Amino acid sequence: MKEYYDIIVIGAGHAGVEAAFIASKLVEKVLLLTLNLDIIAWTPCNPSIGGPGKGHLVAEIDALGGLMGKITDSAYVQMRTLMTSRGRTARALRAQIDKKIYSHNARIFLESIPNLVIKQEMATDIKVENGKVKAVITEFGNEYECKAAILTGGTFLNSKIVLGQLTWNSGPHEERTCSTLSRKLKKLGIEVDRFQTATPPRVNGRSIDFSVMKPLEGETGIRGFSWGTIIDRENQIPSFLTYTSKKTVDFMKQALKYSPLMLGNITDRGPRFCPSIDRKVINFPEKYDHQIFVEPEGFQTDEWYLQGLTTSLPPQIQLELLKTVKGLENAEIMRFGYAIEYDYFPPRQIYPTMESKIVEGLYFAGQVNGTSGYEEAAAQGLIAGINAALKILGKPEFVLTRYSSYIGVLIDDITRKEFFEPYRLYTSRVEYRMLLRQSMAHFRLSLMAKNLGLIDENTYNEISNLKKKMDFYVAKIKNTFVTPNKKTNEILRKIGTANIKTKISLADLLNRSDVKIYDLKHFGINFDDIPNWLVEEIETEIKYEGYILKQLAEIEKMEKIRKVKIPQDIDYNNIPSLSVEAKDELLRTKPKNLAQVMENARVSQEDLFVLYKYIKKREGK
Amino acid sequence: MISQDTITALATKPGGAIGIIRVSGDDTFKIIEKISNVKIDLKDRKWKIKRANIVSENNEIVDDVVLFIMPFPNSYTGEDMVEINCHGSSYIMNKILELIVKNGARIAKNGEFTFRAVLNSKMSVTQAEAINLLIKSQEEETYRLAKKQLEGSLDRILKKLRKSIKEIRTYITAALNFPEDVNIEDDEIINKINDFINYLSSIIEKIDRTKYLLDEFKILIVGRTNAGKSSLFNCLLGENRAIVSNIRGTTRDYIKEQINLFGKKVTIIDSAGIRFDLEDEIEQEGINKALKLLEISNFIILLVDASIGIKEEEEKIIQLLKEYNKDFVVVYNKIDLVDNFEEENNIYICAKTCAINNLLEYLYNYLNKNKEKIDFIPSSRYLNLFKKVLSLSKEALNRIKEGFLDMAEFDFQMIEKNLDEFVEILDPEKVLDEVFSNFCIGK
Repeated sequence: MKEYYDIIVIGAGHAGVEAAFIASKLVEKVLLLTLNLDIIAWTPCNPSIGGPGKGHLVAEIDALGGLMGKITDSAYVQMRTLMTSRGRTARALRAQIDKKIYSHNARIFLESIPNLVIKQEMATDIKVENGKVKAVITEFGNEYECKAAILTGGTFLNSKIVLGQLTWNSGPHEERTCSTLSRKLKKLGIEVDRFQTATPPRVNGRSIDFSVMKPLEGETGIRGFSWGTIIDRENQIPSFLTYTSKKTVDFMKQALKYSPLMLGNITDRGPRFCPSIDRKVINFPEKYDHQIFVEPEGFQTDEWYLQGLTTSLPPQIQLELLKTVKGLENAEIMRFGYAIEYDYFPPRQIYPTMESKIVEGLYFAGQVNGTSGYEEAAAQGLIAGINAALKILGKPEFVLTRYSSYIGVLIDDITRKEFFEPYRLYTSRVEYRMLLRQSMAHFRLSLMAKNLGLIDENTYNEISNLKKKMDFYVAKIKNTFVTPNKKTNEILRKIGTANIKTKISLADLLNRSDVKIYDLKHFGINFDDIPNWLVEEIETEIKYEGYILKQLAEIEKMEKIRKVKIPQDIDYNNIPSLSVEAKDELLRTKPKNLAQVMENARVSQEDLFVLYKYIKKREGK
Repeated sequence: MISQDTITALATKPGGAIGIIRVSGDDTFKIIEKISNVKIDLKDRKWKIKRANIVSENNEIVDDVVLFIMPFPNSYTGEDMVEINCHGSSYIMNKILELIVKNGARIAKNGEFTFRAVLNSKMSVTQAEAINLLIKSQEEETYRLAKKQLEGSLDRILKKLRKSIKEIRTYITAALNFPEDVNIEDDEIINKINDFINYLSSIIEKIDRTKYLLDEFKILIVGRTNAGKSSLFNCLLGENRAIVSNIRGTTRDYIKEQINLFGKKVTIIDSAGIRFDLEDEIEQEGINKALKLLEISNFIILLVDASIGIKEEEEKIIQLLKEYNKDFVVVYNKIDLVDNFEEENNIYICAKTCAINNLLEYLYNYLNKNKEKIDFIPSSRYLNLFKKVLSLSKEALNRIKEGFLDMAEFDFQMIEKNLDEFVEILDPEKVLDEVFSNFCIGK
C-alpha cells in the first residue's frame, strides 16, 4: 500500500523539526523521517541556544510561529543576557539547555500534532519525474509519495569522524550516517561539496576544580525567547570561565604535529569563527589566555562541555592538554573531542524560498546548505516548511528581506554569496541591526505571521497592543517639552543632570548620558501600563533615533528602487559598467522591474545599483 | 581596461612651432588610420614613432606630422593612445581635431585623460591631483609639494589612516560578535582610537599651518587702539593705504591689502577697529567679525605699545589666540618711546619710521620653517575630509565611553566609507566633477 503525504521532511534535527511543525499547521499530511527517534532536535555540539545573532534568530522563529523559542524556554538550565554593557543592539540572550530535556520536549511536542507522522527510517533516494519531486524512498524499500520534500539531513550525509589518526564513517554522536542520498542527488545534477566542523572534549564535573573559575550565574525576571515567557527558574546552574595558560600554548606547539589539521587527514574548510585550539595556537602564537567556558550539559548529568577547547587531537594528547588549563588539571574526559566531515550542497543552488533550482518541490534547509549552528538550521527549516506548504496551497511565496529580519539576511547571504567555510550569522552581517533588535522581533514579524496563519489572533492582538503603547510613549516623550524655570531645574538637580537654558523636549533630555528613562517620572510620564522591558525599549528607540532614522531612510530608498520599472527596449549590452554575469542573467530572465532583479540571487547589489542609475539617467533625458 | 569611447583634445596651445593633439580610447588606431596614410601594426604592443601625412576627406594633405603610437596598456591613460605632433598653427590643429571628431571621437572633458589613467589604475587620485598642480605650479614650493605627492606621499598617509580604521573596525566587530572567542576590553579599543585621533590631528595641524602655500599667506595685525597697527600696515605695504592719525579708533573696520613678500603672495590685514579682547557677550556682531578674521588668518602679529607693555587687554588676546591654536608673534612697537628693552627674545620695531627689519626677519624664518613641515599638497579637499573624519571619530569614542559600542561600530563604518570614497572611485561621475573639473582639457 502506498502512503501519500503533502510534505516529507528528511531529518529531525533543528531544521527538520521546525519544517515539519510549521508545515503541519498549513497542509494536511506531513511525514518526518529520522535516523533515531531518541535524538530528535539533538544538540551534539554545545549545550546552548542563542547568543550574538543567534538569539535574534530564535526570537524571530518564535515570532513566525516556530518552536525553538518555546522548547528552549522549557529546557534551560541557565538563562543569561550577554554583553549588557556594549549597547542595546549588541545584547544577546543565551540559554544553557539540558540536552535530554530539550530533545524530549521537542519530541513530545511533535507527537502531539495529529497530522504529523514520525518514522524512524533512513531516506536513501528521492524519486523525480519531469524535474519534480515525486516520492521519497527509504532503506526498507518504502516509497512515500509527496508533493514536496524538505532535506534537512544536517551533518549526517556521508559523514566521517576524525579523532587523531583515527577516522571512521559515522554521524555525530556515534549515530548512523547516510551515504547514498548525496550520491543520488549528485546524479540529479545537484553539486555536492565537503565541509568540516569539530567539538571539544566533555569532562566529569567531579574532576573539575570550579573554585578557581569565575562562575557565570543565570538571571531571573528577564524575558525568554518565546512570547510572554518570563524566566523564573530559581535552581539555575552556572557556567564557569577559566583561561588557557602559557603552558597550554607551549604544549600545543609541541603537539601540533599530531593535529589532524597538520597531518592533512581532514579538510581545512572548517569554521574560522569557532577555531579549534590547534588553529588558535597557529594563528595567535603570542596569546596565552584564551577563554574557556565550562558549560553544564544538563540538570542530572555531571558531564561538562569545554567551550573554546575544540580539538580533534589524539585522545592521549587531549588529556595532557587539559592539564595545562586552570581548574582542569585533574579533569577526567568522558568523551573526547572530534572533528566531523560531511557533505553539503552549496546553497547558490536554491532560491530564497529554499527550493532547489534544479529539482522542483525539493527544499534544502540547515547544515546541508553549509551553514553552522542550531539556530541557523531552525530558521531555514521554518522558511522551507512555510514555502513548501504555500506552494502546495498555490499561494505566493514567503521571502524575508534583509531589512525585515536576521532570517532574511541569513537566507539572502547563503543564496547569493559564495562561502568557503561553514556559514554563521553574526550581527555585523546585518546592515539594519539598529532596527532588527532581538527584543523587537515579535513587533516586526507578527503581522506577517498572522496573515500566513502561523500564529493565532489572540497572540497577535496582544503583541500589536503593546507595540501601539510603545509608539504612544515614544511620541509622547518626543512631544512633551520642558521650559527652563526654577521648578524644572530643581528636578534636574535631583536627577543629577545640568540645568536647561532653553525649552527642550523630554527626548532631548533623555539623550543626555546622565538621564535615565525612569527619571521622566518627574515630568509626569509613569509607564504604569507597560512591562519593564518595554520601558527599556522606549528608551532605546529614543537614544538610537539618529541611527534608526538613517536606516529607515536607506530602507525607503531600497523600497523606491524596488518599484522602478525596467523599460522594455532596454539594451543591457549598452550599459558599460554592468558585469557580464549580470548581463547574461538579465537577458535570460527579462525582469519587468527592479524588485525582480533584487530577488535574483545571481545579480549582485552593485549591478542592481548600476542598472538603477542607468534607468534613472535615461528617464531624465 | 574599462571599455570607453574615444576622446581627443589639443594638449598644447595653438601658436607654437609644434602642436600636440591627443587621442585615447578603443577606436584611436582606427581613427588615425582613417585620417592618415599609416597602418598601425600592433603585433608587439610597443611604442612607435612614425612620420605620417594627415589627409582630409577630399584626399588633400593637411599636414606632415609625427605620430607617437602608444598601445594599451602602456600609455598615459592605459588605453590605446596616439599623440599627433603637427605644426602649431591654430588652423592646422583645429583642422586635424575636426577630422578626428568626424571619424568618431569626441572632445574630452577637463582632465579626462588623467581621469582615465586613474580608472585604469595607472595612478591614484592623489597622484592625478599632483599632476594638475605640477602643471600649474609657478613657485618652487608648490612644485616640490606636487612632486612629492606624485611620488605617493599623500597615498601613504591615506593608506595608513585606512589601515588604522580597518583595525579599529576589526576589534569592534570581534568584540561585538565573538565575545566568547576573543576577549577584547573596551580600553583596548579606546587606545587604538586615541592613537588614530592623535595621528589624524597631527596631519590636520600640518595642513592648517601650510595651506597658505596653495594660495596666499594672510597676516592679521591685532593690538590695542593706538598701538600702531595702521603704521605697521603701511610700512609693510610701502605706501599710505590706511588713514593714519593718533585719534583713538579712527579706523572703524578692518583693511586688507595684498603684497609680495620674499616672492610669496601675502595679504596683510589690519584689524583696525575690531577688538579681540572679547569680554562676555557685549556686541555679538563685533565678536563674529573678530572670530571670522581669526579663522581666515594664517598668522597673527600682536602689536604691543612698548610704552604700555602687556596688560590685561593683551593677555586676553593671547589667551584667545592660544585657544584657536593660531601661530602668532608679539611685537613691541614705539621703541623710540622707551629707554631700556630686552632685545634678546622679543621683537622691537618702530613703525613710525618703518624700522621693522626685526619683524621681517622673523617672518622670513617662519615661512621657511613651515615649508619643511609638509610633503604633500595641503588642499582643502583633504583638510575637510580629515576634519570630518576627526569629528566623527571623537563622537564614536564618546559613544564607547558611554557604553554604546554598537553605535561606534556604525560610526566607524561611516568613517571608512568617507575615506574609501576619496581613494577608490566608487562614483566616477562625482569624482570627475570634484577632482578633474579644474584640470585643463588636454590633460
